[in-house]
Amino acid sequence: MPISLELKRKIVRSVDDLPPIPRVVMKMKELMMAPNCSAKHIADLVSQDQALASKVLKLANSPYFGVIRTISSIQQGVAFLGFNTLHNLVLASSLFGMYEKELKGYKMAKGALWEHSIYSAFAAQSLAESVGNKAVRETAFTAGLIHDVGKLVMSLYISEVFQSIMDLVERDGLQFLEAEKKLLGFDHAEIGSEVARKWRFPPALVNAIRYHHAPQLASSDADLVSIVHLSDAACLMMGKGSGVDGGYYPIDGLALQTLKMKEDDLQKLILRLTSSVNPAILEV
Amino acid sequence: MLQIGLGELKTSTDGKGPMEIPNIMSGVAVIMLDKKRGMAGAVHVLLPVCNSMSRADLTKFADTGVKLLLGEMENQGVAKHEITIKVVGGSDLMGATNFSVGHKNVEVVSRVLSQEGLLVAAQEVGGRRKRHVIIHPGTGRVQVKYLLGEPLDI
Repeated sequence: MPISLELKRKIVRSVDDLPPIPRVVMKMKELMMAPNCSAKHIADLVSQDQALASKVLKLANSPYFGVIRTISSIQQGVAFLGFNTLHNLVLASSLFGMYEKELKGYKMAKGALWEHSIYSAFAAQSLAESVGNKAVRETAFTAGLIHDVGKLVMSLYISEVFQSIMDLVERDGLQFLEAEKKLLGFDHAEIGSEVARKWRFPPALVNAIRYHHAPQLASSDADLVSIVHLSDAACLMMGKGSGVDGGYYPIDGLALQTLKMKEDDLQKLILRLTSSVNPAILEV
Repeated sequence: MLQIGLGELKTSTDGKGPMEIPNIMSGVAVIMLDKKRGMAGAVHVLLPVCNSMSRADLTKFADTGVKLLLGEMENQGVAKHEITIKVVGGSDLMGATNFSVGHKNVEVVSRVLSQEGLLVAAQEVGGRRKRHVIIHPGTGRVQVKYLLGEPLDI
């Protein structure tokens, strides 16, 4: 059945309907890139948003970090957490409102996308620490966090064709993502990369989202794309926030080769994730 | 409802009423029931063979988790021959022939139970679906729920 042009237009318009990333996230990234950036510069920015400032203090004082004395000022908190963790917190906190919602199309309960994204972000960071270069280490958490952002849009349209999608995956053996593309003209990875472009994320992140189900198709950023793919798969295997599409997702052996990992390493990642996700960030 | 998370082991004496094991994917829920006393214990393991030195990790692996659960049931005065065992989970991702953690988890659970001379009374394993389990210790009822489709009693 041909996909109507009107449906495709509606899906594209839904990307534009998503709210923009808050200014503080972009501003913080700009500040962090500046050669003379200090904890005070970042603390001044954070302090302008009271809700954010209290989250920074809550995270810095969470038992996960095992601090002995209380961190009471934002500047101390910024210095303690480091710019990168802080940026991750600010981004996660800005996405929470969108991510905690139920995604009916994917049968994902309220909070499931949030849980899946946070676990994927920690998984990506963990993999990047062992295999990635500096640029990859700095972007892995964000890539893990936003890899499924396209589901926010696609979920609105999947319900209309849900039974046909399930027929394609169960009867014809298609991946859930392939069935999305076949019936709606787009899949959530494609749409997610459009959202990332709209949010002005760098090309490496756009690629990581675009190819997170098919790392073999990425012509650049192979490490980051592979990291996000395997992180996603590990979290699905753990049942962390997966929807009805979760099992219809093949692991690409090439991603393991790219990162010089074996199946054992994937199991080690799963074990690390059972204890390395900071519960405080789940409650931002 | 008493919740049993990934890598956790609990018995019905830890709380009141039904027990719930949510979000079972490649992990496996091993459920031991003593129908005579209306008691139950369960562990939700997520990896097949223990390679960790940490005591806190023992309930995360199929081989060590099953043994710990059996030990816990026996500590609570349940004799081996009074235990009814049900096993749920072990889904794998599509075409995951080399990464079939779910399948391996089920294999190791079966092997350890068999080494202990225990039979599985019922199981609902494999496939690609995520499962949720509700255990009613008083009646021994074990209900498996899915994101799609009707729940199943095993």
